[in-house]
Amino acid sequence: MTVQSATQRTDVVLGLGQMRVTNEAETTLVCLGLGSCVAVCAYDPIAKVAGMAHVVLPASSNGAEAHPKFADAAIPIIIEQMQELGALKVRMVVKIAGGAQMVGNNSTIGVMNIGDRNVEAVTDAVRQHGLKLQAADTGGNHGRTARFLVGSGTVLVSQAGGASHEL
Amino acid sequence: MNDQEIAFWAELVNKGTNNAMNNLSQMVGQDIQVTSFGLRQIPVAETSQLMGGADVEAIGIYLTVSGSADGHIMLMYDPRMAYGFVDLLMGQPEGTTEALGEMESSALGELGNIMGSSFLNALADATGLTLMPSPPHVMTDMAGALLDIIAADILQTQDDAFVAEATYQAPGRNISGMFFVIPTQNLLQVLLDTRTAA
Repeated sequence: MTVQSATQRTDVVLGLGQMRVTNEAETTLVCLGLGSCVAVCAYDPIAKVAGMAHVVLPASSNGAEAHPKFADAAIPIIIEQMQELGALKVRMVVKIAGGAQMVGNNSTIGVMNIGDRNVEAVTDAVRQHGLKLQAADTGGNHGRTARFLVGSGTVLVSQAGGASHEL
Repeated sequence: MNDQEIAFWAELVNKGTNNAMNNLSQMVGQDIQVTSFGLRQIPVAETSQLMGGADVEAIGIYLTVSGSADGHIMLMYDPRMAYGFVDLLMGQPEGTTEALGEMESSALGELGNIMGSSFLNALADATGLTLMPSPPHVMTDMAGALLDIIAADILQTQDDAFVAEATYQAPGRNISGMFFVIPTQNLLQVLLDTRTAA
């Protein structure tokens, strides 16, 4: 006879511009259907504290309040909130997914090359704040879903109609 | 927006949608019916839910609006529904199309052209503005990924999106689709300004 585990995984889905920091081992942080957006997944493997942000734009414009929808603001906010739960900056590793160019590079409207610029801005911010970028699945012209398992720090990435792979 | 502005915006969207559906009906030789119609103000963070889930696979036909101001037009379909429209457009029996090749994508692009330009022509006629559609992009992907294109632009300047949505179906065949128009704050303002100018 097998004994079923009593614990249940809980999905926490982050909409555009939302972020969450948690140490609840059974929680999975999720960004569904990322196009040009980037899922930032930061983890302290010893404290088992995870932080995820669904970044939409590269940088806050002049005077805009610091908000995790911006890559340059998301990284310091995640670091601070993770530290409050006992994570140490020296141990934090970051994995990212997303940043696709859904309509190619010839769009005439406001946000040119937004996917590439998001990835660049996230990568720069991660480096600037002294964190390690451990893995990335970015670019291309297809969407992605990212699942971040808090207990293990595992990040699973999938495409439309495709199987997921570990980042 | 105040009540008068909402009424004016609703009237414009109504004219645009009717013109789009009439021209689509003529194009396919069938009376395409509007089954629902709505104007919404929703947080941009929730726009990825417009198709019922951000990771739902969808076929999107996307056009940008330019001219007097910028905006976005997106037609979205469940893939099987899009294949149904391809069959309708190409005069084929239902169930013929099972994937999008170059020909099928081009047919859907034409569908986007007809609906986008008809919608914008009606708005331009009513307001005297210049509103031009871009060439259509036909894409198959997760709905949220497709809607990111619009969300990223809107979120640069505002936290809420004004979404005009219409669903429609072809009565002879079991196919339906969704038509979204999402103006930038600037386009909405330019449109509303024509009301006071008139």
